[in-house]
Amino acid sequence: MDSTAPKNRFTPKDFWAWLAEVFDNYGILILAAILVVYPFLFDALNESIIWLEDNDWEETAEIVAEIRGFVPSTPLMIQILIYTLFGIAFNILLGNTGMLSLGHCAFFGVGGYTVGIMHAWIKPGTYAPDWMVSVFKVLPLEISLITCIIVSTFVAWLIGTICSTKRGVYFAMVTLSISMIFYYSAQTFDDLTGGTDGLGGLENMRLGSIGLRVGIMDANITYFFVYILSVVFIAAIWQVLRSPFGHVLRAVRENEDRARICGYNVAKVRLMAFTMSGAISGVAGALAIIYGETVPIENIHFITSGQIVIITLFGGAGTFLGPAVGSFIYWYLRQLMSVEFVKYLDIFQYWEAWVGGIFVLIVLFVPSGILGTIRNMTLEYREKKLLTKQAVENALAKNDEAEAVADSE
Amino acid sequence: MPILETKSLSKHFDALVAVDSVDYAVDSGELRSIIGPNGAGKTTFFNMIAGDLLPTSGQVIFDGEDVSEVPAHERSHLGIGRTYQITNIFPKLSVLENIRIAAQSRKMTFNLWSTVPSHKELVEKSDEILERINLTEKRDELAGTLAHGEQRYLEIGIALATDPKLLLLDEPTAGMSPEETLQTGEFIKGLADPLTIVLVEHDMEVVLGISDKITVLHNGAFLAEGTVEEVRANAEVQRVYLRE
Ligand SMILES: Nc1ncnc2c1ncn2[C@@H]1O[C@H](COP(=O)(O)OP(=O)(O)OP(=O)(O)O)[C@@H](O)[C@H]1O
Ligand SMILES: [Mg+2]
Repeated sequence: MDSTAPKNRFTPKDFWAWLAEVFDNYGILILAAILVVYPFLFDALNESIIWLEDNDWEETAEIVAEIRGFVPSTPLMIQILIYTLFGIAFNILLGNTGMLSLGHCAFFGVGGYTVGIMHAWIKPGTYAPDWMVSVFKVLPLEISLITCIIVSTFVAWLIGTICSTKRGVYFAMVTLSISMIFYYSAQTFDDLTGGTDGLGGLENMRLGSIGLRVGIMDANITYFFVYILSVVFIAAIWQVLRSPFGHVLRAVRENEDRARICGYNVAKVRLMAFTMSGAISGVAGALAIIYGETVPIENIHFITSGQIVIITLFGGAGTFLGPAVGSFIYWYLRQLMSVEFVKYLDIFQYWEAWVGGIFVLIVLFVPSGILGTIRNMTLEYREKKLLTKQAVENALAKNDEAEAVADSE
Repeated sequence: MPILETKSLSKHFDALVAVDSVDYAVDSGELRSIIGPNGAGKTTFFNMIAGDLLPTSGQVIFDGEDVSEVPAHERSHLGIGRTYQITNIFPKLSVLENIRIAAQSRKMTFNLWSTVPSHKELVEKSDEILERINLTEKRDELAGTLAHGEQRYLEIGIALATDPKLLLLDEPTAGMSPEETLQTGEFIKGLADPLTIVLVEHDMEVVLGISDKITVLHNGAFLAEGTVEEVRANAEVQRVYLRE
């Protein structure tokens, strides 16, 4: 026996690596499939509690109700989806182009305010001119969303031309400062934006083409609407990142000077990445106001930028779906702590501090993020499998040789 | 007509005159060398030709066009390729990707809807260059994990992938063993004509072995220029450079 061949023993670490491999291959499909039917699953859980109560299974009903507290509700999933889209759009810059923007709340907010302001003000008895009101008896969501894409693309391009020539810390600081201007503007023009109270009056948002109503009364419909748009935009980003342009982004991230001498107009590439990232963040911002039917001013506050940085790093900036994992963990933990855990221990009401603590742990111990770490394990597993296979082949070849020699003698 | 010309090209760093009013002309297909002691201004001269630095005064004329103020990425498209004294590659990308990204720059930047492997000509060209620089076997390894000499070759490959008319090589053999150095000299000679090459090199054996013409730079200014024999015979060159 060849003693140098690695032993093919299955360790627990291999199990996790194998799981990671499955996830790597089929994760997106599994995830998408579960997410399509999620609201039905959650409804079924609710129904089952009612059914149990009706059939005198009070105690079992109580236990199931208790468990339900730990299952993300449909509205929470809406939030998770939106921040997944936001995070993946943000990661066009951070993970792929190597630009850390601290000003993405500006796009998220502008997207939300564009849709919000249109729906709040294009109706009788407001600032809107009469012709507009008569054209849109009820403003269709399609119109406001398209406007939102145009506006956020323009805003992103404008901010991009100002700051995408900056690098590193300067870039981070300039984006941060510009987003502050947006926040204070939203606060100042409170006639239009509702200021710190948030912008209300967004009941009755409808998809004009099919007359479908979205909003707080229709969690499931809102969920599907958000799901479809998120999937479409995430798929678009996925394509862009694997396109030749995506490769240029990574080249710029790795060595900007080399990319330039290779003939790439680095300034233009960075601006393009910034504009795309900002525009899609605007769409996420628009989706974020639909279920709540208000535009909270926090959406355009720096805290939102901080959130998206944390979400992206939680999941892993080096992976495509990292922000999805990050978004889930962030919002789920927040929900668990502030609603469930707090029942047992008061200190969980300070969930921000706990999330902050977990963030520190992740940065310290799994710096490539959760999905990033899983990805690394997958690669390790593949390598090991490859080595084992080679070792076996080598051994067989040696065996054959030995036999051939034996035969000839 | 020369493919590259500089007219009283100068670069000042504050009080320091790094390149001092240099007139230089290279014909198409030539293999030229520039030698000179440390700090002579060779790299600065290259930087102004490739566009990494803008000149303080004077002109760079490439292919009959004044490119003195043209941004570096556009000069790359005009046909100026270069390598650096300190290896400048994409260390965290694969060897193949290093070459492919350079080749891709000739075709497309803002192509969002296709995938890279679907561009057959790109794949073929990268394969061909990998073959030329003898790195086909290591195509999937990260560039940063290659041996020093291999990285130097990879960088030449990156430059070649951009289809340059003029190739500026800044001390390609730096850090190589004597044996590797001689091999590299032969390799460079094989690249010349139709490609025009300007080589900055400290290894005199290589320089004397492969150059059509040698230019000696000293304190930012031209000291001498001529064929191998002429430069060898030049007393002043002997004094400042060859004897050291
Ligand atoms: N960016 C810069 N800022 C200030 N001074 C510089 C800069 N680049 C080069 N210099 C100075 O200009 C002079 C010429 O430098 P250069 O690198 O061109 O020399 P070189 O001939 O390439 O030398 P070596 O053989 O060491 O590579 C040196 O004195 C150097 O210190
Ligand atoms: Mg130098």
